[in-house]
Amino acid sequence: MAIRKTVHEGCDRAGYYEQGDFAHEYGSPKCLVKIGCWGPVVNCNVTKRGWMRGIGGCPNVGGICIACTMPGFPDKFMPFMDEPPGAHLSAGGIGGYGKVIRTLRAVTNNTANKEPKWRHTGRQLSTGYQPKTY
Amino acid sequence: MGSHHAHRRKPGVFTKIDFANRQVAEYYSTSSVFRGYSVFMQGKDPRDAPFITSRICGICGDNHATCAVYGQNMAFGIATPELGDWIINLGEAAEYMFDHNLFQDNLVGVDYCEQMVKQTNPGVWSKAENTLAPNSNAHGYRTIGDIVWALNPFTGEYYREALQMSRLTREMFCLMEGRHVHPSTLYAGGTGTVPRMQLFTDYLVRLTKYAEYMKKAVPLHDDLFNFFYEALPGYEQVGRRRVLMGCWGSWNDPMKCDCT
Repeated sequence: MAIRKTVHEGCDRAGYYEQGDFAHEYGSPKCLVKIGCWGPVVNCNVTKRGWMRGIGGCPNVGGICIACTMPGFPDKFMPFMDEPPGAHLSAGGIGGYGKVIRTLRAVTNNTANKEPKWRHTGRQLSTGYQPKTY
Repeated sequence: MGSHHAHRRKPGVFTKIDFANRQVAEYYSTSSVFRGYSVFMQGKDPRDAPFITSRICGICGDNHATCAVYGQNMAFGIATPELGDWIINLGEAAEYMFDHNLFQDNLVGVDYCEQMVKQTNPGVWSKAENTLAPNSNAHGYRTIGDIVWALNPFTGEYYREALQMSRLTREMFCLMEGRHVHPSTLYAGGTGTVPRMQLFTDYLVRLTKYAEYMKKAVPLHDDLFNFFYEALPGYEQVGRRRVLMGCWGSWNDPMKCDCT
């Protein structure tokens, strides 16, 4: 195998997979694994480099990975538009974990998006910078 | 076979030359390639057709993928959503720009380049060197010879510029359909492309550059081909044959077409 990294390892939609958040229709910006993406088990760097000059590609721009870099393509990977065998188990397994992680991250993300108390109007300048060392 | 005629047959090529009158009396050529898709797509999931049929060609493959999508839309009684149709149309438009650009300036252009013309028609070459280009203010080349020189493969200025522009149109295609020429985001009944403002802006800036290039390319082609018609009497007969053109129905207007 010329490329050791998988499509999934370079995919900018892999974050959705990790949070168990899957696309159920084409055109969605989420992870395409449940609608026929072979990315997690295919060796290819298209998700890192795009198709040309960083533009286009496959799963990261909405196209399922049909495993065209792999031996046995295409017959071994047809029908392309069904969930690949094995993905049901792994993608299903991440569902519960992903849901919990997504909920916890939503809480923290909400906090991170709040303006801090030390940013206020008036002449007095205050800071949130409180060094613990030196 | 008379003494004034010579026949030469090769697979797919037939010529009959009238040496006395220094004319090609008859010329026929044919080529056929058995692709086999209609055979090996049998028994396969029809939804896979767009992914497979594009592999028919390394230059125009996406047209075949688009055809496969249209065919399935009609067979299944489904339609691509309006925005999806526009994405396909913009992708196809980029493909046509790419095809014409690459074909005309990089593939056909070689027939008119200095290296070729100097060897095959030395008289035409010296004439080209001394003929002013009527549209030089539009394209910047003073003589026809300058244009012919600029068409030299890999070294000619215009050849290299054309190569860059064909690359730009491939980027436009990739914006809309993911991969050129084997689209990754075409599906029966829709596209997987995520339509964002940035996507169309990225397309538009490239289209603007291409339009600017065309303002130079069209008057340049006029100068070049008009010169060859004048320099080589009878040249306009080259390629004359029964015209047989088919339109496969690209650029559907989603307001008018529901694929039924």
